[in-house]
Amino acid sequence: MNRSKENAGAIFCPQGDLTIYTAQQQKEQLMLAINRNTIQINLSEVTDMDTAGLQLLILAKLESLRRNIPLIITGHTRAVLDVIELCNLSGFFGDPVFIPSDNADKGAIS
Amino acid sequence: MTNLVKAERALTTQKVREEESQYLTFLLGKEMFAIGILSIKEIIEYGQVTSVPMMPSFVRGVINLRGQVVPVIDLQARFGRPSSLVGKRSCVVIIEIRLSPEQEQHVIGVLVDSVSEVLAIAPAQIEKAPQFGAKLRPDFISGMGKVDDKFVIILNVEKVLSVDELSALTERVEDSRQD
Amino acid sequence: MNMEQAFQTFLAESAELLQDMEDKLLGLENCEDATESVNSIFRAVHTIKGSAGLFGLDDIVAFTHVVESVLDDVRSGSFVLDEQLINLLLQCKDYIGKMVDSIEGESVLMTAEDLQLQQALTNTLSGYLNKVHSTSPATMLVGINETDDYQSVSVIESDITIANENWHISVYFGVDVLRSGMDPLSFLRYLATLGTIVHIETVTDGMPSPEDMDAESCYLGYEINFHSNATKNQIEDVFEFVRDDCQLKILPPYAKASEFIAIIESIQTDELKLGEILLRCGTLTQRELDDLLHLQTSVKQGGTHRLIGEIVVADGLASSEVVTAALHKQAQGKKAKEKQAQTVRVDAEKLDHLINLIGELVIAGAGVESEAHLTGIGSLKESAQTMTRLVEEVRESALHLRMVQIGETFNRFQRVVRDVSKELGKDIDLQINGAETELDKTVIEKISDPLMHLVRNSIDHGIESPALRAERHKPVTGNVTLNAYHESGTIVIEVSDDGGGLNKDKILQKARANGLVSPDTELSAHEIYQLIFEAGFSTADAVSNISGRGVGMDVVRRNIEALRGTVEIDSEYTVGTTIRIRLPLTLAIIDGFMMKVGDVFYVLPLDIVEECIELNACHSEGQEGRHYINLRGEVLPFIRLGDYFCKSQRKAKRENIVVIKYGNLKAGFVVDELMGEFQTVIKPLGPLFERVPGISGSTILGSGEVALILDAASLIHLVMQRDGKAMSVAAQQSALH
Repeated sequence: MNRSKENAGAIFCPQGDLTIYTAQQQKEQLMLAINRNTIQINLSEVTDMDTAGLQLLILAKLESLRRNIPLIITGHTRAVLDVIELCNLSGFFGDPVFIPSDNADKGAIS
Repeated sequence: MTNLVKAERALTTQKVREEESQYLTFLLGKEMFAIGILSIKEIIEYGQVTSVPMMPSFVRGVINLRGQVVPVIDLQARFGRPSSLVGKRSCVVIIEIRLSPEQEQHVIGVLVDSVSEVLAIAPAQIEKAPQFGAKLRPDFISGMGKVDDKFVIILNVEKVLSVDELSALTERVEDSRQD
Repeated sequence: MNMEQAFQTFLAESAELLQDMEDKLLGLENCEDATESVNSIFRAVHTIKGSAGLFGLDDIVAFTHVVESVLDDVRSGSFVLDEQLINLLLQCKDYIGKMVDSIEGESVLMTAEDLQLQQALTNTLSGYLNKVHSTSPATMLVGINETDDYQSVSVIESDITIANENWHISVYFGVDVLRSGMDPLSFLRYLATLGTIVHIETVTDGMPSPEDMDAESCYLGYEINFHSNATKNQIEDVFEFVRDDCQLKILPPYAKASEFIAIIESIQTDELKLGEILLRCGTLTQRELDDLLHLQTSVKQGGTHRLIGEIVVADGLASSEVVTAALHKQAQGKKAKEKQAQTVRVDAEKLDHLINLIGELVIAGAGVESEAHLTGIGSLKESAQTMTRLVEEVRESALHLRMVQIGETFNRFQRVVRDVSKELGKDIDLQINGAETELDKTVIEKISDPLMHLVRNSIDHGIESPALRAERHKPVTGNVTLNAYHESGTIVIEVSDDGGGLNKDKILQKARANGLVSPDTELSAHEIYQLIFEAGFSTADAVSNISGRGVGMDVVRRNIEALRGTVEIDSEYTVGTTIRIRLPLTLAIIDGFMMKVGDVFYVLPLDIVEECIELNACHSEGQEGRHYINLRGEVLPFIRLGDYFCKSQRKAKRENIVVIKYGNLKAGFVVDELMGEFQTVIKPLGPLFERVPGISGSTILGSGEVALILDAASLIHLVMQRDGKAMSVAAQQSALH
């Protein structure tokens, strides 16, 4: 249910809150997305994220580094950006963060 | 200057003496008694007395005096007379006694029929207790105060309310009941 | 705080610390976690030394310093705490206690004999120190620095100050933080409100492989360079809710290098990498990091590596302030403050006064409530009710202030058992049960001496010699057990042993010889055992003659009776003895059951009330003056409280029986009205009523009236006695006819 409709199986596309309440479930979804040659995550549907959610992203990043496969994260929402910024992790995730148009004025990207 | 100091000192000694010779007078039936005011803590209205079972008649019961449970002694009964009837003017005189410096202070209430006034009785106006005729144990009387040509019995509170004696008496009641 | 107050605090604190030291030392013998115990023993001695220094008590400082040095070597692992050393330290503890007790003004007045002991102790201690310091130059260095009395952490001579002008916060969250409903991010956001997060590094090293990763566990840590004018406490408070569930280190600006080493070491990660993280945070400069790593290595090689780590860990976060402030006074203040947070000393008299005032408040509140009721104003009534409820709560908590757990008193016996049993060459274990049982502080204080006596007796005369135990096929290690529990509104304290038990025949023999018992009287076993509480048995002769118990049991009984308690003995020859002390909760609070007879309210301890039943005709009561009913097939004797207490014969329309059970006794009390449960504050009735049987105290009701608390046991006993007498009188009379 969390997977994107057009690209089933390849993209981890959590919807709504990426928090402790759904983390267990979403980790399973993420694991499905990891078993490929790339890890693709689309965060555009994420409305809220906490440490548990952040950890999933970190897990994906560490795994991509370990397997030496690219991690592509797209569609960061404000909620996601805030957390990444707070933890000073934009460098860690390394990929260009797309600025959602409604938040373009914030310019919080490294 | 020296005179002033002297005068002051005279005043204080006078004050002490006055206190020494001030007495609270009260009625038991129609008889008037007096207690030195130094041992009196306060006077309260009679009410809400809880009777304690198996006590001699002179122990009226206990009252709550601001959190402290205080026994109330019926003086009439203590003197071996019929117990006081509680009326509108009945009062409990709260007395603090210390039998000796080492002993802790005891607070005891005394039921009287009515409280009259505080009188000053000069030591010169106090006669020794009669050996008999007062219808009272001689050791209960510390003196006879002369007031307006009448005699007021000044009570020896320590003797009347001797805790040792009272509690010994309560024990006897118990024994007699058991037999 | 003025000097006098500070001094009193010092005395009280020293006593506590020494007690703690003793407990820990004894605990070590039973192989508890050694490191923690050693650390706290060290802290105890160290704190006493520091405080003594503040008061200029040089003698205490000098002696404790030696003890502390030895303990320090124990901490560094130079030698182990064996039984011999534990013995020595116990002696030192006693001696320190003695010194503290002998303080006169600014000096300690000890007798020549004591000073000899001190010399002996110091010599033995020095023996230990020399042993270590001749072999390890590194620790020697520590010893020298330690002579600088007030800077305990300045052990590393070359400790460097880090030039970072910001706070450095190192926080690693516990695994369960998320599950507990806390989000580390919110702490970071909150932290940001106190200042500026100059740089933050998320440490992800704790993250396991995807298979092992539990999405609900937390694996993150943060190293934060934080600019703020906030105090350490304020920063600490940010993490208050996860304080116990995370590894938190807060280093003030210009912290010492050793503390960074501690962080690097405490985090389970590559040392170099964490150093780099600190570097990136801007907390450390490259040069500093190099120095640090160099220092760390050299220290490791020097052999004091353990020491640094341990000191920092042991002194925890408080010591970082000690270092920066470098003022012992401050450390003292901080420590004192921590202590105060746990306990506040209050004069017992003040507490009593408070409780009395609250009692007054309850009554005044009841008055207000009834007045408010009369006015008929709804809101007023409601407010009055709220107030009454609050006052009731305040009263309840105030009363509990007086209650103390008996555990501390019990623990003191560990030492007695240990010392006396060693002296006697017996192997004895002390077991403690019910340490959390609470009773009034004054009662605890007064029961301590009799208990001591009983415990000593158990060791002395109760437990047999190992040889005899072997002969009797018992384990060589004897057991003495202290137990405390609440029962039927009383507190029961038991001292039991699995020793020789009492020899009935010998006791009876002895009692007959002493004329305590007439030769033809037959006594039950229980009655015979009670005999040892008679004064006649307290002769030295009795000790040798009666297997089991010794001197002074009559004194024990007298002390217990002074507390209106009872004492009884259960014993079986060659198997063991249990002495049971039953104390009423005088001065304490009980849950009471209130009832009314005539105009007077009575209260029974709720625990002994089994049930309440209506007394009706079918119980066919009082037939021919008999006083018992059929309670579901059981014969239940009852007492008419009305007949017994009041002279009036007026009977209420409906009467009730309150069925009580006290020990083996079961009986009914007939009362007019049942009022229900009532929290009862026991007030003594005063000397005048001391000897009144059946009444154990009084309590004040919300209305201000006084209610009497019944002593069920003595009441029943009294009735039994009276009935017995009546019977014998009747028998005599019928015999005459």
